[in-house]
Amino acid sequence: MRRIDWDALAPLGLGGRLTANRICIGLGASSAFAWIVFWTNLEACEGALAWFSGDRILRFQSPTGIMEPFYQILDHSLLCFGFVALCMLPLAAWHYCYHYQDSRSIYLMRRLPNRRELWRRCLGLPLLGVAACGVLSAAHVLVFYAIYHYAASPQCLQPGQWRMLWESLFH
Amino acid sequence: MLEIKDLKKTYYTKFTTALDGVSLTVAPGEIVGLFGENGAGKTTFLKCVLNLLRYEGSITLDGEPVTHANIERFSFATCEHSFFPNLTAQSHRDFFRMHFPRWREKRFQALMEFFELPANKALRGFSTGQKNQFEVILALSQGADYILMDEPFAGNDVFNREDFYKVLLGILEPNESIILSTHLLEEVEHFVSRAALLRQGKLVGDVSTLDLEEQGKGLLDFVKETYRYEPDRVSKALDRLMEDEEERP
Repeated sequence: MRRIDWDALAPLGLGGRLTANRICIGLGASSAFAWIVFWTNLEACEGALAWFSGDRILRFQSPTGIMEPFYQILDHSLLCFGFVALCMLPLAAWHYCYHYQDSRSIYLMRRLPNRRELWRRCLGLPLLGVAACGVLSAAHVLVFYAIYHYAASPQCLQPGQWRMLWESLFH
Repeated sequence: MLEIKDLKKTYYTKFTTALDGVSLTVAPGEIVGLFGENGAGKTTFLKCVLNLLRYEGSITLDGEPVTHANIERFSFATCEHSFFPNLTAQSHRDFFRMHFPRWREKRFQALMEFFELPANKALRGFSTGQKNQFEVILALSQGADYILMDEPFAGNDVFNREDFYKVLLGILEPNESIILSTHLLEEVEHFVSRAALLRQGKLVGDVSTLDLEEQGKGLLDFVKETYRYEPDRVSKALDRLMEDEEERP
């Protein structure tokens, strides 16, 4: 498998690998935050009870007979991914402004025969960061939903979970 | 052939016209000195040729507009420096080799050796003179047909500059052209083959140094004449100042 040349996705001399590592730390922290919020919310469900028996998690039992909808348990667990994605905007701006620091390397970058080189080095890592945030957010939603679905007894689940999640995003 | 026709550049944010209908043709092998006072439009002119600024008029290279397809035929050395301060000379060489297929490796190595520049030291650790040297070395080694230089030796000592002119004359090939913007008129007098004079965004003079020699004039005389320089300007101003001082009670 071809390895990603991180340095080719950042301005020359800035160290793409270091920036990529920092983005990964941000993504890791976002993932940890998501798990903490989701798990806390799941455990806080009214009357929810979970315990382990051997290697198997027993299902949540809701005394009211209805489990909180998934979107309410998901809550703001993905907020940090959004924050990391937003951070990619100033990162891209910084990558561009870097070409004006201590010299005018922008003159060199703008007169390269390969016109994409400047944009690849300014936007490469930020775009990858945004894409990673999107993919990881989606992956977390799917994993959380699987846990939610597995954890709650089928008779306690409300119908239309995805519709409610979708609506909560826009309301 | 580089042809610039009716080049106009207005900075709308500053409400100034930096270039006003400049037309100039530079043939292969010519060394053109671009002269003029501060703010005359020299730097703007060079940046327009390189497509770094938007402009009105036409700039063509062998009949084709300057685009990414032929931009590699131009190189640029500027006193603002266009290299990456965090990189070493060696890393710059690798980057240039990757992007400019006509990179001149032998010339690069020879010039690095001649100026005794360290290959593995980040450029931010270079002295101003060394930075200027390296900027010019990159421009000369890129493999360009037209080498544009904007005050490339600002900050270099006189011996250093003289060395550079000699080296330049020694290594340039017949098809390589240079457009050199500088204030150091007397120093480049024997280096340039042609002098173009800008004033307030207009081309007010364009003469070959051979013609000047035939007329028995120096480059400085030509510039003063074209600029209608008044030699007694300073003494007149001082006299006026003294009169004002005396009139005061």
